[in-house]
Amino acid sequence: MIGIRKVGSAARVVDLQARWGDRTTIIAGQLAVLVIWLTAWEAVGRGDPLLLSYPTQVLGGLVTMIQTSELQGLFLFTARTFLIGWAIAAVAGLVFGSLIGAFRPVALMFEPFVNALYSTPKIVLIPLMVLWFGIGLNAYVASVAIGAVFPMMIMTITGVRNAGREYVDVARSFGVKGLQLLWKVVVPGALPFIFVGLRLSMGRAIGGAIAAEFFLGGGGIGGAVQAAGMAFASAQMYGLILIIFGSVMAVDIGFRRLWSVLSPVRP
Amino acid sequence: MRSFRLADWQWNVLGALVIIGAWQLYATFANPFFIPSFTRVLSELWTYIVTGAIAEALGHTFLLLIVGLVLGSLVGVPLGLFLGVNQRLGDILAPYIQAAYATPRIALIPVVIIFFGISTPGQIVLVFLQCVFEILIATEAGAREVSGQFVEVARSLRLSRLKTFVDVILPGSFPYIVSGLRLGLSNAFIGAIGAELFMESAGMGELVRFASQSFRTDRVIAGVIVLSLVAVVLITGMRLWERRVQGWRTETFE
Repeated sequence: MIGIRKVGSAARVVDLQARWGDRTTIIAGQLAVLVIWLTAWEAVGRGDPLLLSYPTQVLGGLVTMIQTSELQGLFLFTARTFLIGWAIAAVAGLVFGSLIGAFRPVALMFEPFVNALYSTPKIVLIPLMVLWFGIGLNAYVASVAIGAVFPMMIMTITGVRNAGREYVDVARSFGVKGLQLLWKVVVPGALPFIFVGLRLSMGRAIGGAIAAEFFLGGGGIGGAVQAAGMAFASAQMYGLILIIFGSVMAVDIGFRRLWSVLSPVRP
Repeated sequence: MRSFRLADWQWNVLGALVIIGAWQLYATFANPFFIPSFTRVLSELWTYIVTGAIAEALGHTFLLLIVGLVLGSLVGVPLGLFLGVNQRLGDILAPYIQAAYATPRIALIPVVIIFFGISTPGQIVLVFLQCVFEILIATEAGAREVSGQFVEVARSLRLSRLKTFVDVILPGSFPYIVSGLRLGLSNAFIGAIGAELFMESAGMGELVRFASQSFRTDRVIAGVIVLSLVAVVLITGMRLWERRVQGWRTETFE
């Protein structure tokens, strides 16, 4: 007995060591890629600063923009339209998605239109939003919301259906009903899908915010990227794009973390 | 008394009637500048069709879409297979690919303009960027999954590396590649319209932009309807293809 256990634990130690070694190699590789990329960019970019710029210049540009608090203003503008539009899309998507998911006649009546609009590139609706809402904040927010609402709706529909199909019958046969059924069975069952919906719509919302700024020619980080591109201010342009990428990544990772904490299904 | 029941298709028709009816009714009271009536939009749509404006505009949009998607597959599929088979390398590059995948590539338009110009070649590059990561990630996931499942079997059958790749990994990854193509197509469509709106005006983007700049809401909506129909046909076609090649595999990427 003891012998077997010893062999088992020894094997586990070896296994853990191997996995640990794997992990270190991968992280080392990732850092190496980053270093090679930055070095190559710095080396090549110094030869053609007008088009390529280079990391130290980009960093310097960002520092200057922070010191003059230009970057903060741009960031807040885009963040505001993004957050308001995303919130509207989330609530609207949740409400309409739940209705379509829960009631079959509603689904039969309206789901084809939802699916059609889900496939349509919403970017084409930005000109329409401008006609409807003018060129103020409302047009930006509407462009964000219209882009983000459909993934939210589709995932809510899927979630509500999924929860309904698999567990509602079981719960009913145990006498669960009414609000308790909704709160204890349907909501937890739909929650993973709703979270995916929020994450997908987040990506669309940021895309919508940037696209609206391009179309309306100003305001926020997207407008500043466009202006910098036209002025061949490459360092600024790359810096702002990196800020966009960094923010999206941060929100995305934060969201995944949040889900792994809140998830009702423990792995 | 029989209860009130409708067949599925009757509900579908009822839904369409409710939407169109509400729209038409609302439009009779509303300012036609904001909400043109359904019939008004239809007549503009008809004019667009008979003058050939739609066909011409769609021609350019499809050119961007097809060339961009083909380039995206030519890069995304081989690279995805390579990274799926060489998993260590795939793990190393994963955060960078995920980063590119998660970010709105529309933000790269000014960079694309600087390097490739605002006309069709630059627009194709944008469509390419818009779809290549979707295709790459789905293909890599497929190749990884298949290598994990079947490569031991292939090895015990003493298949060569090349034969394993051609006979096991390639066909096994195919359903995933089709999923990637479907996702890539919807994204490429966004890229094509974005390119036509924000780079050199052309195609459907130009049609809608011009209508909006001349304050013709009816024409804008006619253009949106055309794009919706095209999108539905393309995406439904891809979904059918996907379902056909997937067989037992029911999970899909979103």
